[in-house]
Amino acid sequence: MTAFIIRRLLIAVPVLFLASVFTFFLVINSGDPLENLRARPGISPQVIRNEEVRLGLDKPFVERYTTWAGNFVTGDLGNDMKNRPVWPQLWSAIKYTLRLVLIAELIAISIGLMIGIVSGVRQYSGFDYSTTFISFLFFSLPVFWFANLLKVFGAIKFNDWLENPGISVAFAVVITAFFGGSFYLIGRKRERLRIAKPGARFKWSGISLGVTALVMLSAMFYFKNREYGRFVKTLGSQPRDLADSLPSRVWSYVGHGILPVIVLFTISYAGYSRYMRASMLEQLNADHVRTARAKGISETRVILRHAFRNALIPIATIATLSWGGLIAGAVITERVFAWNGMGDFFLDSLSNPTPDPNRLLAFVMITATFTIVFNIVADIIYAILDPRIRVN
Amino acid sequence: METIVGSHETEFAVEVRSQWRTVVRRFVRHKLAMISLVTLTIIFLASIFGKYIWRFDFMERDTANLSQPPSWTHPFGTDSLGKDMLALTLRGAQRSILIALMVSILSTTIGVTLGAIAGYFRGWTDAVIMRITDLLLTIPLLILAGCIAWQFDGGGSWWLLSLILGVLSWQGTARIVRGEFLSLREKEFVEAARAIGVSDRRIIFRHVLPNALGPIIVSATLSIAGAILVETALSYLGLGVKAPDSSLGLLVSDYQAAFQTRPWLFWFPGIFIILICLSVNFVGDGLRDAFDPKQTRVRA
Amino acid sequence: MTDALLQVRDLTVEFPTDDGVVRAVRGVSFDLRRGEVLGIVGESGCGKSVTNLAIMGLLPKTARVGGSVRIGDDEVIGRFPGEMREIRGKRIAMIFQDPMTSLNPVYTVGWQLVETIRAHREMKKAEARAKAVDLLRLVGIPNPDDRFDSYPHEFSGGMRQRVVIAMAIANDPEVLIADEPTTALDVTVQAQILDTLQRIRRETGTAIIFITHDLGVLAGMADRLLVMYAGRVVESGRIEDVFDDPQMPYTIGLLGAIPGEDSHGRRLNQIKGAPPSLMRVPEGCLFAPRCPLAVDACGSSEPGAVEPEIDHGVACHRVNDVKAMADRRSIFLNERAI
Repeated sequence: MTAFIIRRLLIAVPVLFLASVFTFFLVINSGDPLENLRARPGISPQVIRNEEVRLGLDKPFVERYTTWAGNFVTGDLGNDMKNRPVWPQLWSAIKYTLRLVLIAELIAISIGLMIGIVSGVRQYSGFDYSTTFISFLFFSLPVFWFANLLKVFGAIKFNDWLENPGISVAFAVVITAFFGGSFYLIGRKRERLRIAKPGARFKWSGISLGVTALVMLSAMFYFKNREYGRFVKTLGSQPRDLADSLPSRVWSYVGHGILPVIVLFTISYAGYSRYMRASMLEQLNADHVRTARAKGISETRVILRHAFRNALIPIATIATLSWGGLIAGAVITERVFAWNGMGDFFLDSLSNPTPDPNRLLAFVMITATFTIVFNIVADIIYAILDPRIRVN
Repeated sequence: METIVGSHETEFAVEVRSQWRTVVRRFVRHKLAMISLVTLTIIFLASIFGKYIWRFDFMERDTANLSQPPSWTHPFGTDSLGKDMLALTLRGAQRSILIALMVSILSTTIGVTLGAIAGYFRGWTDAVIMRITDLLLTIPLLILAGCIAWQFDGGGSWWLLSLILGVLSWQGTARIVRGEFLSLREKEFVEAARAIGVSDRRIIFRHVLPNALGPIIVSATLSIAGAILVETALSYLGLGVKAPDSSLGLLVSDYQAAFQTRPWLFWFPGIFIILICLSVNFVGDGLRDAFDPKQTRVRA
Repeated sequence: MTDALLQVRDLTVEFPTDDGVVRAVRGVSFDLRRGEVLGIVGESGCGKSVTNLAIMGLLPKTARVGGSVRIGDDEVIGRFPGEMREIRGKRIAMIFQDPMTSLNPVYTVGWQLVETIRAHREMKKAEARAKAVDLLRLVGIPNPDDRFDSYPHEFSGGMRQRVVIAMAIANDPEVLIADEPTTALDVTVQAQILDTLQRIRRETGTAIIFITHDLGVLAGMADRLLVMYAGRVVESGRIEDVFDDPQMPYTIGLLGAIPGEDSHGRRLNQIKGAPPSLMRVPEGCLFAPRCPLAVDACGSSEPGAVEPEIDHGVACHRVNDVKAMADRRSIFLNERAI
């Protein structure tokens, strides 16, 4: 096992090297850092020349690369155009983005896998169709548009509601009917499968109608004439006032983070649920699952211990792919919600107001490094999940 | 003595259909895919021919009707300059769809070629191509494309953007095609062809490729959706299509501030993107089901 | 009613598909007595596997099953999945054809055995482990204590099949259904597996249903034989009786197609044609188009089903003519009427 990990790490080194050369080439040619300077009237050519020398623009590619690479490996990421060190800025940006991305990914995995399993087991059912449709919808959502939508509805309108909370009668009736109806249908299905006794559906819908009606009524009274602050925040990643007590700080973090996390969640979720479903379908028809059923163990155990456990194996590869999509999503989300994360860092380095090669280089390299690291992690997870791989 | 009744040649066989007819038949059966196909065609035709049919041009300013919500004259409303939203949206859609189609064609072509070579020849060729693929995957597409597209400031013509995106997004298709070729090349008909002395190139194109067509078509279709999302995102960020050219992403970024006061300016471009992507995804899914022989829907 | 352990009466299985309803099993009846080995033989698609999957309740949800299967006094058909658990793995066990894919690749062999054991009885882990090791020893796996922690991919095909057998007999089932257990294995390994099965049958008295398309394998193993064609039983009886005195033309054809000492230098007899599609089942005997003895009656009405109580049952209109023939194999030598 350790040999496996070491081998993977060793392969990563040349890949990183190639990636760095490629990145360097890319960034060097991404626009001219001095374009603003050149465009300004009244600047003498000598000044421009000085700047070029300072930035090393006059040196040949290989020399520039080796200088930069040498520095990079020792941890010196150089200074940006305004002569401020790059690394501290990047590091703080990384912290923000990582926080966001990891939470969103964890939630996406948990919910996505669960729904994928149920979808696969209940293929072609109403549940399957609706969740499939939702997955497709998430696949087709333009992140930038959705983020803005959430900003208005999730935050502004919600906060408006919080200022004058109340539940209309119509709303309460709809919710009650929805739950009552759903439980009725579920009860009927269970009756048909003889899991529940006849007449159970009436009991179920009756109880749920009563409970939801009660909840709605009490909510209606509770929410009248109360005062809440504007909870959901749309600007920035954390509260300005760090002197607050811990609970209120935590609450504030949640308020700031909830919308971006939701946006990023929708990006990853669809992949997990769809692929889990497909993987489950494949497993449920597999020979070893048939053997498991023939052994007489409970269906739940067959699904979880046999089908799901094997279905999990190809999912490890999905995890790596979704990372790239998440970074891209983070770029957009951070722009919409004004977080100072990596996405913002990237956009900034492209045009603030001129391209900043050191910042851009640092950003792309770090992103590439993360991707490679995640790939290795995925490989390791793959080996943990599938004993057959370990032999090689 | 008794006589024989019937002969062994009488067989109760099911009618044999050609493969394509089966595929089409199965696809047509997929209601959702069909609806999506129709939707796509409508949007597609509207975006191309809309400007000839619709009475407003997208540049036209109806100064009498500034910032109007949707009405009979302007079904999608107007903006602060009096420009008709429907015309604007159609124009943006036309651009985005055009780019997406070009990207799909380009990336599929590159992906199929590289994937076929890698899967067929294996060994070093395969390893090299796969390393390049992995390398390109280490940097997210948006970032990569953003860096490159950024330089071509001023106009950001649509075909340049298509070129860039097309050249950068072939990895998925390449992987799939490589997988198909790896398994197909082990089949007996390839061995037989080689034994007769058929050239490699002919084997690839005339023998193996037609059998891999299913997943390729599915991949090409789905890549259209991916391309639209990337292109609109880039345009939104200002790294893609720029004024005076149009794109659905550009429309969203232009009008995002107006969402609260004039929501119609925000809704329509976004809904168009969703509609196009959703339809493409459903059609792609329908194609996937139609091509997959293992999936037989059993009517319970 | 005979005192049979397993009684199958008029079992039918239908699969609705996009192109129509496939009638895979069309009225199969047989008895399985305690401790006996029943061989079921037939071409691919004749329904032998589907019949046994129906007994185990392992058919897809869309399959429509009719008829009756009784083990002892208990009816099996029509049970809900929860109710099938007390039959599967406990009273009736099944092993499948391909040992490479029958075992779960991510769990050790020992884990899977213990799972089977603890599914049907209360046992502490240590006890179950000991029992599992015993089972591995019983099926002939060397170093069972070490091999307990091995993964399936670390075993050869033959060894894997033995593990599968061990899992099947773990809870002393009354019936063991073996669905082509040796088809995917080398001939030498085949012999070992058959040997193992024989030994188990001797030591535990389990009745075995042995499905195969290879008559040679059954010659040494089976007590009675069931010949199936196109979803029905066409001949049944003691194996010596069927081999020496085949009364259904299909059986004659099957036996004649086996190379033997007297076929040296001669063409093998073959049954021309292919089995029919079971989607649009026509009138009459389904073997008639390929049968050299077919007459008008064969085309219009299907012969009556084989009765399980009869010693040597045949589903053929012309059975009396066949019995009267001296050299039965000759009916397939040329296509002229006899």
